[in-house]
Amino acid sequence: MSDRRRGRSGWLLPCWLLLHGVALARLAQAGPSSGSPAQRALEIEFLLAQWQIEAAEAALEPLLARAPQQPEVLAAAASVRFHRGDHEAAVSLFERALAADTRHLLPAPLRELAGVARSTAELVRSFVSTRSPGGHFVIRTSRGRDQLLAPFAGEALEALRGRLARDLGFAPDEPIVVEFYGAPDDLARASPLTVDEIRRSGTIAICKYNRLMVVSPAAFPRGYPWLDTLSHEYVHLVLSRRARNQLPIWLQEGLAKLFETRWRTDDAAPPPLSAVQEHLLDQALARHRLIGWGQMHPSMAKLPTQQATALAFAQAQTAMSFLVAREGPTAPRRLVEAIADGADAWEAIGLVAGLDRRAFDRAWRQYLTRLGLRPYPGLVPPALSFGPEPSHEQQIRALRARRAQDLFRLADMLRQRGQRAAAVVEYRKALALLGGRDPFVANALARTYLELDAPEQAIESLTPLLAYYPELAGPQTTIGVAYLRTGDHQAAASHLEVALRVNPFAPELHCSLTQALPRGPRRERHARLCQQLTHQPR
Amino acid sequence: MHSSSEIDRFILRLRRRVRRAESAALLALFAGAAALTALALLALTPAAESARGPQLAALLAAASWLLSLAWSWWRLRSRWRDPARLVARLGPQHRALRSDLLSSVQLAGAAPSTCSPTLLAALARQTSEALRQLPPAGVLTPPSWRPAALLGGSAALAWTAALAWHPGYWALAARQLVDAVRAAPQVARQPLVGAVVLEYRYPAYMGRAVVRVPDTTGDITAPPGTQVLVRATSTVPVSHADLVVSGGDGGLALRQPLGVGPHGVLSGVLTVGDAARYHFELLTGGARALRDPIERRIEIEPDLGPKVALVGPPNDTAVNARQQIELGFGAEDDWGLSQVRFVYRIDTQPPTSRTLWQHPVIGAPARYASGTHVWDLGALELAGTFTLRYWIEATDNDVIHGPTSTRSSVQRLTIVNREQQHAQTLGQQRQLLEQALTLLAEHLLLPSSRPRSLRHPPAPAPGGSRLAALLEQQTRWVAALRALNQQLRRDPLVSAVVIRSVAALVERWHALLRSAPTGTAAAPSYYRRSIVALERDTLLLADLIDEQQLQTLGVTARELQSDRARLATLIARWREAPSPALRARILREMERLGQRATQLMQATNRLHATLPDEYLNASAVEGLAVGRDLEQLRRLFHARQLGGVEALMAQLDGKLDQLQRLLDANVEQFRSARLDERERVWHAALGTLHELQRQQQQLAGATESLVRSYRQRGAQLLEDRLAGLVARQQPRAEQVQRHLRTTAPQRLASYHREEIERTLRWTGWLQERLAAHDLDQAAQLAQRLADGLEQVGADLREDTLGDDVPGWREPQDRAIAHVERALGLAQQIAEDLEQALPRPSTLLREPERRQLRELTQQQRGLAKQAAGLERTRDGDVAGDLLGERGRELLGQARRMMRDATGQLGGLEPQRAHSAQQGALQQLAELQLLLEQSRRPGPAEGAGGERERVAIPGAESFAPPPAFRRELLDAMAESAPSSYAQQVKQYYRELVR
Repeated sequence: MSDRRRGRSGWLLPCWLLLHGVALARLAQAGPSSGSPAQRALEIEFLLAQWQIEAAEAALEPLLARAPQQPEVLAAAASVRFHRGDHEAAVSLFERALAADTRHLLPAPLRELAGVARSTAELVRSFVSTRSPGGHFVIRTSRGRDQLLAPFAGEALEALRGRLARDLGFAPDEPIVVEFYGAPDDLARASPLTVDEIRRSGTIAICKYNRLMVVSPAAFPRGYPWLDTLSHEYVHLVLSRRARNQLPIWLQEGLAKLFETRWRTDDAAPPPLSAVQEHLLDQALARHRLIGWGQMHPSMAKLPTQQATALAFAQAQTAMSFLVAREGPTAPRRLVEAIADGADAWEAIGLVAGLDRRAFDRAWRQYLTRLGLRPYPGLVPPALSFGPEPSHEQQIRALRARRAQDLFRLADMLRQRGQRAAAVVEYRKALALLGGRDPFVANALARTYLELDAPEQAIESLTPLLAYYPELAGPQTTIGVAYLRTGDHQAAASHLEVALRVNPFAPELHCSLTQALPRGPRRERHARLCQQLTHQPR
Repeated sequence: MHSSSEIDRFILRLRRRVRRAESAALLALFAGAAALTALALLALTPAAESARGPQLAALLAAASWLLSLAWSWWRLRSRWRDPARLVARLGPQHRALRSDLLSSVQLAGAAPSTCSPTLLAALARQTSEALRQLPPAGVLTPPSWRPAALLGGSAALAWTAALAWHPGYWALAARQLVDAVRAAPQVARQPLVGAVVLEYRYPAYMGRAVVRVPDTTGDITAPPGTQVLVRATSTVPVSHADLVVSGGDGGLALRQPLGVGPHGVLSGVLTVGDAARYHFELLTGGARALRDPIERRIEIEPDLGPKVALVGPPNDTAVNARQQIELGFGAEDDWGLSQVRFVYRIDTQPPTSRTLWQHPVIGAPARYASGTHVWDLGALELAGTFTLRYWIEATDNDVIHGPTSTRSSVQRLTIVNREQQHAQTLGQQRQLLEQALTLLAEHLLLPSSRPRSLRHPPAPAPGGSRLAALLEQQTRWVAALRALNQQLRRDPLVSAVVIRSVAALVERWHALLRSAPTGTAAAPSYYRRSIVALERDTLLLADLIDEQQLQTLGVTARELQSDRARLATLIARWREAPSPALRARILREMERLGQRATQLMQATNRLHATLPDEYLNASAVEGLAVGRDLEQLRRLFHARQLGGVEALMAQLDGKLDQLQRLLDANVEQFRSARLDERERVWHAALGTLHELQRQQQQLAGATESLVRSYRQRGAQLLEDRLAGLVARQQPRAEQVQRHLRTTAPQRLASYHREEIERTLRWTGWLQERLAAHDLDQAAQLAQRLADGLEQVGADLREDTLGDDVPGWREPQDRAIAHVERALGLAQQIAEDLEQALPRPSTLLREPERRQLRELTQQQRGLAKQAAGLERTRDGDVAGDLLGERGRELLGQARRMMRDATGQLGGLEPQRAHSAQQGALQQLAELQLLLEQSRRPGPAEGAGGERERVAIPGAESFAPPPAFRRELLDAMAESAPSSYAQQVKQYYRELVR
């Protein structure tokens, strides 16, 4: 799967606010702030644009007391409520503001925001809210299957919050709202993004309006690394709040990538590159096709291809890894603080690493070469697929070689008739034609080996695949089951938990984890989920 | 003594009385017995083979009667002589007197010493005194009349019954008996009669006119029941004459008295019964009985049974239970038909018959009857497989011996449930698929057959026994494939392309088996090739099965559509004229529709197990909710809401169309996905064909324009000679017309009639074109007319089938003569016009010649392209795409293209144009063939299942007059080869 798409759109409102903010700053310099309610309201919007939620709230209170019926004030109050995740209140206030705005003074971006608030309120009206164990997150999901996401999300976010508070020096005090939507189209309703933009860019999660908006992994046939994505967005939130949204995109993404796995490991060392990242970086280095830092602005999603975007993410991540490797684990915090204090990105880097832009770039490239990057022949960066789960027939027809399709069908027919050993031969032939790493064929082969009670061969058939594409829930589950059969519970749990991070809805996953995990609450939780999901209609 | 004489007188009187009474009783008894004996004798007489028997029997009977009578009378007489026995006859009421009388008689005859004379005298006196008081008549015990009464009564009853039953029989028997015992007359040396005239009056049912045959030998040949008026002239003076009929081998004679007219003319009427002989017996003036020496024959012209023929589909034709079978029948009888019935029998059930033709109550006898009958198998409501036997029975109108029925040959049809048959075929295919998979698995698990890339330790090659075992398995599998191939050809629901695919598969495997190694060294290579073949062909079998299953759904949907159409017709009829029978039929049809819809849904659901939903669209099919609509339809009909019914029917029509399109799309999608290679080749071939047609059409158009332009120039050149030329041809054309009309086409077979009418039309057009001075068209028409007349003449000459039919040949020969004359004239017209018209080579300008050269090249190129199509093969998968018929059509098209090329090059564009048109026709047929090759067998489309199995020339089975001519029309039509033998066989029967 390629790097995740995250939308940074909705830039119209911030730009508008920025311009006004500049004007306001000038005004503020002129003297004590005794502006009109409208100006004050604008200031509040500006604070919100800078992710200064508390400051905005503090500024709102007297303003409300002063001009409770003024449309700008009402709109500002609505915005604040919206940024606190109180959508119903926000909608009500927006409606009052719009009703009071007889002279149409409210700017278009606010009106748009009112629309977003309204559709968001409608969307989550029937949602269920769950508090994380530490109470720092309010997780909203639709009733039903998505409810099982809440406990895992809560645990991951609490763990990450603590570590980021230490490593970046900031953690929001108030509970952060996390919303899981059932479909990518719902994300469009809750954000300024359009459905087309979401599908084109592959955006599945947004950090915006002081909350995390994530599409449920159930919306995708094979899931996606949703916990890492969720963590990634939370890192964005922390960075935005800490640095008042002043970090450049590449730096934001680099830091988010650096810390997105911190929920599951407290290892300060930079996370390893995935096979896809390594491959892309290696190819780009060899061909001198690295993406310039400026090209990543204003959004990674604006890059022309998915591959370019994935490369950009990899570059950003390795840039931060380089910084950490060079300056230690506190480098990110110092960097963020410098920018929060007013330095621009390169000034901050200069402060932290003592390198100007060119030197940084050079040093970083050297760092890359020292990493020992290698290409992965035959690797095809996976794409996020929208839409319903493809049928078995569609998956067969998607195999790129016709002969492989035929062999697969024959293998299926043999397997259905109990001729498993013969089916293995045909599956292997098909897999060989596809380069040995096709997820669909490899998984079918491994499953057949398991039916033949040959778990070692199952593991053997999946290992090359997972070396390239670790984020495949199906094969990870299969290999986990295979390890269980060999008695290696630790390895089984490791693989099964990878699967859990990608697609937590498979009953077999939880049932297998129940066997793989040692006794304890986690095991019990998975046992419950095994029971629940096994008997739940799909 | 006085008293004794008194007693003696008494005894005497008594004796007389007793004698009379007992004689009468005796005679009555004998009379009764004689009557019964005579009845018995008469009963047996007609059956006697000769007169001897009855004669002897009569004599014996008479003799025995007489002897018995004499003996009985003698016995009675001895009793009468004995006074004592006489006295015993006195009745019981005179017991005392009887005793006295008996004593008197006995004592009077006794010796004097035994009795006192005085006492005796006193007894005598006393007895005579008593007797004086009694009349002898009163003292007798009358004889018992009971036996006589019984016999007499029985005889009377028997005679009454016999006469009531058949008086004629007894009269005949009596005559025969009398004649038998009478003394035979003397046979004359010379004929006694001459100038015999016979006048036949036939039975009314024959409708024959009276036939008078003068100066005949006297031999009679007539059907039974004919009354023959016999008139002859006696050569000797005669006072009485008889016509004596005797059966064969000297059987009993029947004597028919003849009237004797002036000049010795004898006349009488004889009714013909059985074969016999007769002669004249005369009683001359001198009372001399003479017999004419000539025995004349009475021969029976039997009323033969009817001839009947049935024309229908070939024996054991497989049809489905809903089809309509068209049958033709013809019956002929020598004297008249009364009825023609169609009889059929389902398996071993009793036969059922239906009258096809009935002679009207009033009307002349009909000797011929013919017609057609459409047998609606659907009305039999059969489900399953059955054998139907059917025939035609014709009955004549013989009222003399009773009607005779004749049966045609018994034909057979097999009702085959196509779906069941196809299910069996599919089952066979599935079995083969399973065998293939098992075989594949065994091959794959052979160590030596594993590809080297897999990390397995190399294993030794299989031993010889293993090789042999696998070869045997392969051979068995291929044998099963061959059997499947045969079965597929018999299944009407299997498309041609499937049949060809399997045939190609069989061929490939034969080739593979032939290459099987004998030793183990080459075994691994052979196994690998076997695996490749098995992999490919297993998938092919699986895909063909799935394709057929999907097509079967489409067939069911089409049947649903035709069922709906039929139901709509019935409902329309119901609107016009409701009836309980029609209502019941409508409900049955609705039931059937519902069952078929359910069948379709069930089949779709069953296919879910093996076919992905991409190719089934089960939810879309179910979403049409056809079953629900049918249920609603039934409810509306029950509620008599006809408007609602009709609206729902219209809606159902739309849904069924949609369903059909959906199912067809499923099949296409399946083919694109799984049989893409075959489809690619098929579409490519079709595309090539379309391109060929398009190019050929273009060339033909260009050629035609060219022809038109130079012809117009030619006509202009001829303008000054035109009037004269036309004036010469017009009378010829009129003569052609006259000749054709004189052929009297109404007397010819309809096929010839049609041909002649066609040529008459052409003649008319020719005249029109001549009148319009359109020489070009006129020349073409004249040539066409000549060709047509030549064909008509040839057909007429070849038609010898009716040669044995009286009156058949003459109009035919006359028609031939006229057609030949017309042909000569038409040929003259064509020749004159052709000669008058300038040659293309003289009319063509240089640009046109250039154009012709270009056209020639293009046509040549096109012929080569067509050759490429012939080489189209779907690699190893679908085999021969075109099939034998397709190659034939393509070959003909190429030939015509080559002809056109030659004709274009030879500056004969007009002929080239005809060849081009011919090529286009062949290509169009080929296109149709290709398009149909992927569809299941026949009977597609609306009414497909109800397709009528027709017989050739069925329209000719109109009511006669000329029965044979109508039937011959069937021969004249170009009957499908499957019927030809039937029709020929029929005709052979007919003319026997």
